[in-house]
Amino acid sequence: MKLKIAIGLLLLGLVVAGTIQWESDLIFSHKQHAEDVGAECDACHAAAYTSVSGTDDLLPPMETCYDCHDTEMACTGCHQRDDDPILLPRITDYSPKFNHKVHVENGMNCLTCHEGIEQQVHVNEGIHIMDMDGCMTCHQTPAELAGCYLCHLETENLVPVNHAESWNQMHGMVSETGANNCQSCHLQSYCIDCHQGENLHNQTHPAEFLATHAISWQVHEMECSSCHTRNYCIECHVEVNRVIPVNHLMAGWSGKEHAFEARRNAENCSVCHTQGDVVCGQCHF
Amino acid sequence: MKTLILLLLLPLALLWGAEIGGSFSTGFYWGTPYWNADNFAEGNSIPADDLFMRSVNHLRLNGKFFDKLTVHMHALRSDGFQSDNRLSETKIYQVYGQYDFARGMIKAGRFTPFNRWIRGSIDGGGFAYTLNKQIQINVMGGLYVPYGKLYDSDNALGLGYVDAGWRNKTMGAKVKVYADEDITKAGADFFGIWKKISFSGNYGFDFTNQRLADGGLNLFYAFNNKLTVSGNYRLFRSDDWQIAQVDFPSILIERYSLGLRYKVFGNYFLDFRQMLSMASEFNDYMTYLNLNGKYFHVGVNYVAGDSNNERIGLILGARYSPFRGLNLAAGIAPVDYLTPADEERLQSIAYYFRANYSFLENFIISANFNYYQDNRALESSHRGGIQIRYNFGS
Repeated sequence: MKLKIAIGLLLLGLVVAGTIQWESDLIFSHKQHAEDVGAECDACHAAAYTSVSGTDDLLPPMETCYDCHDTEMACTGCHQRDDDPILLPRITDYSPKFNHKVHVENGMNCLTCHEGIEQQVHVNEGIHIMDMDGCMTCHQTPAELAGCYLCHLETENLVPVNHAESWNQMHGMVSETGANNCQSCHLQSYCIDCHQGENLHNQTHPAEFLATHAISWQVHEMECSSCHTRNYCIECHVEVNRVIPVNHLMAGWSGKEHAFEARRNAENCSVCHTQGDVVCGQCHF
Repeated sequence: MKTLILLLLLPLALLWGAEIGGSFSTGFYWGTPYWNADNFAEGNSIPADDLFMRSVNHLRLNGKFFDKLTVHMHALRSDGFQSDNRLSETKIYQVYGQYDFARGMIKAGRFTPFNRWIRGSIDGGGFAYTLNKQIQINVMGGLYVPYGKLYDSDNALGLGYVDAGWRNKTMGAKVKVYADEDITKAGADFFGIWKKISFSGNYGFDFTNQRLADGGLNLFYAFNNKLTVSGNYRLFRSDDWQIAQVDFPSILIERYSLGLRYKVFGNYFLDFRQMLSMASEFNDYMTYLNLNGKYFHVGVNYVAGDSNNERIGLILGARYSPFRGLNLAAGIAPVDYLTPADEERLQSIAYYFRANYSFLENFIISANFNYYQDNRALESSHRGGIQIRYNFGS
């Protein structure tokens, strides 16, 4: 039933998303203008050369087209829909700290960041803006959060969209298959902070995790062994608090009950009874 | 003694480097027990009502010599304050040298590969070579201690690992082979973007035991700048477990996850996630709904299923930065739960407070405090720590 609800919510999300338009109907080929016409970037994007903020609107207004094109030309020359054209969304939400002028003055070519745009035959929202991987081919990963704010606003959410709710479970596989992405923001020491098991700032797990971690272990909510050795469990369960699991006190535990639990998931037993112990040896040796 | 000499000599050697970066932190922590090889071996134990106070000093150093040679070190020293059982330990996670050349690198020493098939540190060497911009080969080998065993030389195993990867702008794949003294396995990883769908996955086969070792698939799609969806499938194994007359084979564990994120406005996101975990003949379901924003975090999670565990938890958290450099966070997380061994439902409440303050460009002070009400997991009802860190270079 719960699975059906989840699938239903997903389908609902798909339907909602399907009704949203995000593309322009503009017919524009960078390739044609670059190769056939020989236009330079500044012919249309002159403002980029002096822009000092990523919020500047650097897409040319339609009037710029008329520098070369006839004002009397049909709408369908540039728009797929002549009756109700969809205007190209303006890009004014890039980081205000991004400075085109500085990059140009330091000898950067437009194509260094906007690689391949001269081969594009269609215009789509945002597609020509380089992702952060591209930035990091020249820039270095900052050691601290403060370094991120050299380019980003302090009010900005720096967490990438794919670092969503399921990221705890996904990030291992993603990092190993496309590791360069991680290094855009994280030094390797960031991995070590969690994966070597210290968790000194108590932020790795939810606040109430201390009380309910046994449930997380039993339902495989997370993979404990990603960060912890079994010795870590034994610290509290045997060495320190000498905690005996509550089910070991139930009627019939020494008989069929413990065998049932072991068949269900022997991994639970082996956390404490790593190689068998005195208790196991009373019957099994 | 050898460790101490190493700790003294290496920083001195690094000081000769042309470029040195890193960080040093020192702090005090309490409330959390910690593993110690000597304590474990000698069968000592700390009283359960102990504060578990310890100091932790953490050093990271990166030195660059002659533009091509780098030396890296990452070590942690922990000292307990118990008078009878002063648990002290130095953990050297990494100390290695790396030489970069035009088409690759070679490194030797103790390093952490961050590889899902090699979770700990290796004492050995590694080599990477790029045939062209798209094909890369990695080789590493040496001694390591398998996860779940105490780190000492008696537990060290020899291992070798090779992978060969190919990638272009939109996708890539690699094949990999792993062998140690107990097990040999091979597999493949892949990732890419297809029609705006980001995907990544892996597959591994255990040749020693003739069975699937692990596998998985991640999918991610952004419908627009408001709505994203992710799907995740993960397959992994529990360890084999043997006692003299009983052999419990490893079992497969599968986990499915479906996540939806909706950007409400600005930096406010609504996250929904449904997970299904399948182990042996039991299915368990986990549901999460969270609203995250710049100033607050509200969430609910629910766990139920065949394993007869049940949990419903809430979290109410707040964040605030009164001025540049100072960040504060606090919250409350009540939880109601039931385990198979319990006859009645249990309740617990966790409170947390965190603060960090950056000053003089290179210094950060961090503090955290957690208080647990009705917690039966530890005798101590609180834990926390305070740390100061100095960063020099990257």
